[in-house]
Amino acid sequence: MQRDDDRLVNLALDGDSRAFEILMEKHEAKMYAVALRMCKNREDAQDCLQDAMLRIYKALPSFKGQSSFSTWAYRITMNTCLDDLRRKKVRQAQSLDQMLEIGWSPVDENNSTERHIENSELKRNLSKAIQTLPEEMRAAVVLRDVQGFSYEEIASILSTNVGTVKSRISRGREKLREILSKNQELFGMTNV
Amino acid sequence: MGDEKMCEKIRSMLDDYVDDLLTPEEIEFMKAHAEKCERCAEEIRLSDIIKNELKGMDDHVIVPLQAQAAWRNAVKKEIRNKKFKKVYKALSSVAAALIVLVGATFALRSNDLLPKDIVDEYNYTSSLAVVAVSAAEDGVTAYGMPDEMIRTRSTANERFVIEADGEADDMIVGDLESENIIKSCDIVLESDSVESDIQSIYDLTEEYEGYVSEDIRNYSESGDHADIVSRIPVDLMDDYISAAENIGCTVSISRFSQNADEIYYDIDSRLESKRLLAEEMNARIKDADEETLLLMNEEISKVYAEIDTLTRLANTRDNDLMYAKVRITLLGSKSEIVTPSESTLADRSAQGFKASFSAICDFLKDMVVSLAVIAPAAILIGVVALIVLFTVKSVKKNKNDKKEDGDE
Repeated sequence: MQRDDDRLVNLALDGDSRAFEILMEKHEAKMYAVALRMCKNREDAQDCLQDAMLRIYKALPSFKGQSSFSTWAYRITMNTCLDDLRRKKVRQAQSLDQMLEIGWSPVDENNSTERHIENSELKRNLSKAIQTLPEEMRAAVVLRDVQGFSYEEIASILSTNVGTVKSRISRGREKLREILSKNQELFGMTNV
Repeated sequence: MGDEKMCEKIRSMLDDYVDDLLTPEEIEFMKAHAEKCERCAEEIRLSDIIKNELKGMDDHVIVPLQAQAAWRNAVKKEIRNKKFKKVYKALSSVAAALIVLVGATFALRSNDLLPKDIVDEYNYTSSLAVVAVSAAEDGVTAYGMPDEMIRTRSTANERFVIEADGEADDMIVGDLESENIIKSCDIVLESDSVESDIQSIYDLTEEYEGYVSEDIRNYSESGDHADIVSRIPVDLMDDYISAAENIGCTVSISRFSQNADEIYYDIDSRLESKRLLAEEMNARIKDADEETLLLMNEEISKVYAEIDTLTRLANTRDNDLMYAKVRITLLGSKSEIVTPSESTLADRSAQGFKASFSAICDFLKDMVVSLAVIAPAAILIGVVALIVLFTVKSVKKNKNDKKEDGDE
């Protein structure tokens, strides 16, 4: 896949816009999934996806191949989402209670394209719990436990070191366990 | 190990448990403790949830069609903007250069710093040089030109020497020592007032001890015109020509020199021989009978007629040698007294178009000259700008690389 990506990158750099589209089609779903996890709502996630695509296109000439293209693209996506959150001054994750009050959910139950993502009450509620994590922990947990990136890849994406990544993931998981434990009834987890 | 410490140990293993990094023995160890410790059992259970439920949660995410279209359109727009920016940049550069050139042309024009037309300044000299060269090439002798005119031709930007080889030199300057050189000059002047300038020529001619030999005037609606031929002492010709140039606006000056012997071929010897013949015939008349006398009278009349002709020619030649012929042509400014009823709109438009076109052509020529004038400065500025641009780009690139490294 890396070779394919390299080939498409070279074609795109030569001015082949179709090559760029094909390249991004391979990664857009994952990029969108990351944006969905990081942003407050679906609209913001779509905006961040568009911004990330544009940033990638503009920055493509400066891609040096020191990391894989996917790592580089997700880094830009993550940075775009974090920039958006900071711009909108969402520095701290709202508490679950606050979010439930306003009826927020990352999953639109009426939206069939996303409905199958959360095919259980548990997963839906886990998503809500992830949204309560502070953005740095959330990013690390999503990349590791949801997307399956390695610690080294996550360190590259988040522009930090492996130790920091492990620390954030550990604290993120601990917080998730706390949330899950406190709100077992709410999450319908009494029988799990 | 105390219970508290054991629980701490179990908690420290939870991350590796979720990451599937524990050995079967370690997992067994954890489960064994969980059977005894409700709290740790709960932690392990919750870790199981994290491990099993989060993994692959987003594997089936599909990007909504509108989002797909949105980023594609955004990228296409960026591509278009990029192309437009390139064209815009190029056009802007050309426009900026043109603006600078036009400005420079105006500035140089208004300060009279543009090199003048060669023809206006040095027409007479170049005409003379052309005469000299062509004369040499044709093998026709052209004599009597002053050294400085034959040997050099000046242009606005260079001075070079027509140094003919020995042979041509001899041909050209061979008879410099000879006094049989007939000099003449044609001057064409633009005149604001032909009548007034004609009078000025007369006055000038008198001042230079010459006389006017021809005076042809032509007055017409299209413009007055006069040809005045003045005969000026040869040694005063150059000064006279310089003074005559001040009468009007010089259009052209052409100087000529000819060997008198080429025109008046061997007059003196022919005249001499005719006179000798006349004397001989006169001597024979004394001893001639009546019949022979009649014949000889007729013959001697012819000889005297030829002597008269040769004498007149000799006198003309002598006059030509003593007095240079300077023809001054005065061209009056064209009067454009055209009543509206006489000129059509089409005529006026055509005239206007020609005038504009001519002015534009002149300006374009001046622009080319200006380009040559400002080229050294422009090249220097360009080099400095390139250096500055290169430096700024390098600094920017280094910053971007650092940011990229930071991102990576």
